[in-house]
Amino acid sequence: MGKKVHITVLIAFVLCSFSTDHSSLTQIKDTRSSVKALYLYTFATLIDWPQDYRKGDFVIGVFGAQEGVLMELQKKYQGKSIGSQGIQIKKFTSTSEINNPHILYVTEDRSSQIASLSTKLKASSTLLVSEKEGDLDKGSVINFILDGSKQSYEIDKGNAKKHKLIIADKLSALAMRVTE
Amino acid sequence: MAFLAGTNLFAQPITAKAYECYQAQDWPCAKKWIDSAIISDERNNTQTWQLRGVIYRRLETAETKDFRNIAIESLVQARNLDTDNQFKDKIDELLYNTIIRYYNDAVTYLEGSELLESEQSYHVYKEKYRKYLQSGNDFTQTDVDYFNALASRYMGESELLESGSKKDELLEKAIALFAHVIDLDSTNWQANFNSGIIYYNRGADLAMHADPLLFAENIEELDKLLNRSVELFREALPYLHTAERLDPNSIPVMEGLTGCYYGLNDNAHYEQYQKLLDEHQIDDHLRKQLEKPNDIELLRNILRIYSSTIPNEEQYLKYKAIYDKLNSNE
Repeated sequence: MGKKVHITVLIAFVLCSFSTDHSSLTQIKDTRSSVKALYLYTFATLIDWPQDYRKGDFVIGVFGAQEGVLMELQKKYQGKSIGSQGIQIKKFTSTSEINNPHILYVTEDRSSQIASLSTKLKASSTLLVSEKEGDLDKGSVINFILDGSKQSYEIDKGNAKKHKLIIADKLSALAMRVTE
Repeated sequence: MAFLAGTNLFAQPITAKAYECYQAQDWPCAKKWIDSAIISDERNNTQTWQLRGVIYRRLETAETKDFRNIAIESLVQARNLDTDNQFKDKIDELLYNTIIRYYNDAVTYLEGSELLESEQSYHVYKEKYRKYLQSGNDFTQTDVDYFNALASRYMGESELLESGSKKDELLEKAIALFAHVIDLDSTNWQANFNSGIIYYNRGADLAMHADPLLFAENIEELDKLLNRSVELFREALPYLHTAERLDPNSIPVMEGLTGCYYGLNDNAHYEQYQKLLDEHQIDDHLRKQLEKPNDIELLRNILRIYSSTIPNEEQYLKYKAIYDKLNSNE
């Protein structure tokens, strides 16, 4: 029976070597940045800009600390197109650098500057996207909010109109909140 | 062939001939004579059938897999004829060593990623073991080990594919197999952990690999996708929490839970597990930073830790200086 035990132990050893815990699969993935970047791109496809914004590059700017969203935008969307316009991703480190991008995503840490940015950009057709409760009241057009566990957004159509932006009905339909 | 020692084979001349050929390792000759023996008067002798079992075992190849069945049937017949149990232990050992070949095949097929064949072999092994060796044998632990290994292989195969229905199919199979293990042993860490990780990775992959071009015309699909991603993170949690209870210091479990809660936008739990993870890993990060001083991603992580979960201004400034210098060099 010694041979029998030996065979069983050998097989158990071999099976154990197959039974890995796949710990390499558990590296934390930055799903939030992917989702926000995906939304920003989707906003770009479902909003109409005035005629004079439909030539040259389509600029998506990031103002604030969200390295993850910036990296995701650069990795997946830099060089893609919105209509006939190539997408360009820009990082802004000061308000003076901001020069009428099509979309300006302002991260939570810069939320206190939404009102001043809204004023600075009042004559432009920049889609101001924020991510803090109450930022629509300060002038942003779209604000990222949570719908339970899921990332969602709210829209202020009045602010959109001020910037001559036309928001597709289907984008409004899926928003958690729409204010006029 | 110990069982033939001391036996007078003169009364079984055909079996004796087969035995001679066997000893000379002349297998076709041994087969010819033993097949003749079982259709002669010698067919009522247990040793004739034992020898047939041994010869057919020896003759088995990849092309003649049916010889294994013939070997088993021969040994069973030998046992039936061994009415005084003189050769019981020997025959049982021979039967065991023949039937275990199905288990060996199952393991070999696993190694070769022939997973359906592996599972089939494993089931045949159990069926024959119960039929010919021990009908009430408890296979629970063997099942746990085998199905964990099989499920892990399905997981491994799925990792070779980026996305698509084939990948989903492999993961569904892995989930089902891990579920079977959990049914057998609800405290099995590996099955719980791996189930949780599969759900987590599927949720994360949905969010991270979505094709943005699909949603311009169909934003409702984006909403469905995000809902599904959240569902998958939620499905992962019970498994990961069970794994956590079984091994509270497991880093991979902490990573899984951190990832799930991050994906669920549950900051309270995310920060709780991120802090735990950081406390366990900070020394490792610092050691790696010395080995890889140009690793910017690692430095970012260290800065994150010292500015949030393990606040330490002195350490933060130290590594910030290194980070800024690296950044300015790039």
